[in-house]
Amino acid sequence: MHELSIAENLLELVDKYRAEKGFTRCSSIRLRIGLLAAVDEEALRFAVEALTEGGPDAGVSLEVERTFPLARCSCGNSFEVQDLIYLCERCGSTSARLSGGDELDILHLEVD
Amino acid sequence: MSTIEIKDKLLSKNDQNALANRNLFDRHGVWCVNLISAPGSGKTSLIESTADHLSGRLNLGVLVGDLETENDANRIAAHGVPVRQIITGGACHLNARTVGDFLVHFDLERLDALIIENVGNLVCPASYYLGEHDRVSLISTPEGDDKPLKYPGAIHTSDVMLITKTDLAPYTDFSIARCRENALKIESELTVMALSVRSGEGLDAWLEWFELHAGKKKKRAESTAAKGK
Repeated sequence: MHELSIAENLLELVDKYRAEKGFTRCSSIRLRIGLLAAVDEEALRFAVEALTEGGPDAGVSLEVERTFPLARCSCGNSFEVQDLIYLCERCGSTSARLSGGDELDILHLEVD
Repeated sequence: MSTIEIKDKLLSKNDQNALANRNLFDRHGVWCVNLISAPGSGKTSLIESTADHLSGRLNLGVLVGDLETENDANRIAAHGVPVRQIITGGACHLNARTVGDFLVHFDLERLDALIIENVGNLVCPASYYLGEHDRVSLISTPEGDDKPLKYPGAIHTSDVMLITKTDLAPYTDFSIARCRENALKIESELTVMALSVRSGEGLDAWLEWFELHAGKKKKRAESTAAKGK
């Protein structure tokens, strides 16, 4: 159930921007969520819907961009991690570092 | 209608609170370690045993999170260390703000190390940085040696993985070598140790690691204080 507290954090951020930018309603939120962030999209949508009900942002839509684990090897090769195995197909090393796929970012808001 | 570009981390507020905790730890020379695992992997037993073995050598404090009850805090308090229980009332992880609120209950100047026992859960705690210097995940032998592959987020964000309850390994299909191999596929720079609190097997390596990290922190704080900073 960490989607609920993630939704709370998300809506707190929306309120922060509302105070800064002076908009009335947020109609859409674009997010980037990596597979490794272990966020269930449906649970997140449900939490956002429940938390915004009756408020100015009721009915806000979520656009979610999913990313997959990416690794960068010391040999310079970048590759998508398959089955979470960090094997570099170029040099055979398993010491590649994760370079993406754990994002939990808010990208932009559509506001009125 | 207009678009506002943001590009912010969703948990940036938590990260800010975590950084405040981290600064507080550093100011007082306290080394903080965050223990995460599934329920029943042996976090509390590990803390009890660590407290007993390091008694008189390091001043420990423990912050323990659970959905309900003060049972764990009572168990740990019996070992003579200052302990506070955070009852999350259903929340499946600790967040940095709650941890920060509870830090006022500790005499940080006196502490060398603070152990945070997170809520038993291998999913959510991985996303919430609390300001700790090191994160340790525990996987017990009855849970299965493929657990690192099932919970990559926890393993990927950990500095150390402890395979616990090795005394039970003969009664399960668990392979310590396979579990280690699986974990290193997720995080190649992970330190992996295997131990049993009950038999004492492997405990020395853990205590050595713990003391080394807590001691380093203490020394740095003392030398900073000596310089009058």
